Amino acid sequence: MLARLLLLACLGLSTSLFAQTGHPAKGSWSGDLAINDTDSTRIRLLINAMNGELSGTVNPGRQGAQMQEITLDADTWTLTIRAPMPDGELVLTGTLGNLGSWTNRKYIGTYSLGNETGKFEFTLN
Amino acid sequence: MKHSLFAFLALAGSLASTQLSAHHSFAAEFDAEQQISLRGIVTKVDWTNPHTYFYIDVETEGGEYEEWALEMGSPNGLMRRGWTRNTLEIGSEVIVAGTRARDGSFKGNAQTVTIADGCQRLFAGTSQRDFAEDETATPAGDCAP
Repeated sequence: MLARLLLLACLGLSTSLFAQTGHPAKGSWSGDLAINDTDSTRIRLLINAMNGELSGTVNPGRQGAQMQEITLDADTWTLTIRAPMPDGELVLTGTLGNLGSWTNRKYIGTYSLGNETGKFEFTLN
Repeated sequence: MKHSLFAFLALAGSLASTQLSAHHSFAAEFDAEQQISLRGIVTKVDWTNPHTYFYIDVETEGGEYEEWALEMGSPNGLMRRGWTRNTLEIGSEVIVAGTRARDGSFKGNAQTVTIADGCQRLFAGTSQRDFAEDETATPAGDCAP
């Protein structure tokens, strides 16, 4: 009887832990677009996942720009985001890393914004 | 059988202690003498017991960004004061008055939160015993500072 109770308790616990996981790109991200080591611009990403479909906003808030395209290649964890910004189209191409972490998950890659190009690094908030 | 029961009780005890350790006295973690006033962008809200936390990006005068974690009251306490899960939206600009953590980290206990869009000022359910709700003056103009 006790063994069954323990088994049920463990199953319940594992279910609740599993329920905490979600789409690896989902959430609020903060980071910088860096042209070089000294010139960077802070931006934020808010990405939602619903029924496997990704959507999101760059710089959520009054000046936010809706993402037009978000694709994730799950084989390489490459995430590509396109969004229209006042200075031109923003294209982020990078890799999701440290996926097991809730506090230090990374999205690192390169970007283009109009004619400008550089590197970016975002951390999941 | 006794070993299994002991293991079960130990597991239950450890889970309960994790919950209890999250609750703490104000004076143990925050310094009432270190008042802070921050203006930043909300990046995350954790609507959790025993304290609700929200996180903001604060731009410094040098153009760098500090990521602040701010503690408020419990979700129930906030809801009794009119808060909902959606009161603080990701990306919204807020002005926070509160006190800083004793360890000097970018962590604080929020007394009031003013939503910059509309200058709506809200009491944040601080657990500071000697804080009076009307102690912080209503921000003026564009919700200064």
